[in-house]
Amino acid sequence: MKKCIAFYIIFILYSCGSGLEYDGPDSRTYTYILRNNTNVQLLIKSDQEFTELVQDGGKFQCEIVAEDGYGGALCSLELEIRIPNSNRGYRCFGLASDIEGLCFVEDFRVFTISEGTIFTEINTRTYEYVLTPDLLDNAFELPE
Amino acid sequence: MAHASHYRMDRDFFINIRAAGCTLQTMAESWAIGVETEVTNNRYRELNSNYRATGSIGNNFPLNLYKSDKQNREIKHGSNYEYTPIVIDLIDDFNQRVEFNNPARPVDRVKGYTLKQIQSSLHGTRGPHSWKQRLKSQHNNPTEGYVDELFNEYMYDNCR
Repeated sequence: MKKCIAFYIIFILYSCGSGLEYDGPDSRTYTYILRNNTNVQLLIKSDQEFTELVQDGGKFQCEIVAEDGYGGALCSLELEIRIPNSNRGYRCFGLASDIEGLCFVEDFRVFTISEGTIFTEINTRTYEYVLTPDLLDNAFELPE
Repeated sequence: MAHASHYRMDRDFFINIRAAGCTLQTMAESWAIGVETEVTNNRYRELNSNYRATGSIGNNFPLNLYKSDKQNREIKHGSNYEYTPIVIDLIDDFNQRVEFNNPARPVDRVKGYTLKQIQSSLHGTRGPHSWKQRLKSQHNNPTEGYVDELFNEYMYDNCR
């Protein structure tokens, strides 16, 4: 009899679940890629803590987990692209209050995947922007 | 829990809510996710004023908070997106259109409402219009002139 009751309880739990159901929007992983096709290596800094030397032909990549329908790009709200051993490059910001006028396009276009974005969707929730040699021509003198 | 408290406060709201469609569901889900967001962030900020939530999109307040990715969404006509940040936007002082310098982000010039005020205005409403009108008529808020503008961003185009 005890075995029957135990079996019945287990059967009910497995059949019906706990009764709790996740209630919220779906989370998705968004991937952003900056591909370096400039013919030189670049130092790419995405925030205070993450700097990467990207070889020519290489890529800078980051991921963020956010709600389905998220409209931001990259994984933080700042991006610095610097030509190594020089003080030249670009500095872009996702917040209006931070903007320094040192970005290669209007700053917001670097930090959005909606209208006006510089990124191209190359796969589901995967976005890429290719850095080309002409990017280097108009690089700014960056403050230290 | 926010759904449960909403149900206890106003059971009739939930009569056949699925059949009532997107508008009421958007109100229910937006209220619930607003409570979840606000309560979670208040609690963690009490414990550590510099906390940065998992999944947050920035280093600095308020983008270091739980569910901050909601601030960086494009509002699309007829998207049927039910988990809008309208409750958070009624409380916070962060205008997405201006802060992100992005014309594809919602205008949010409303700030300073409390969860309690938003809840009391939700009580008994059966649509976004009455919720909005009660917010304006029941509470004094210096930004109430922008409440219409904020509701227009989320609540009227969403379910078409």
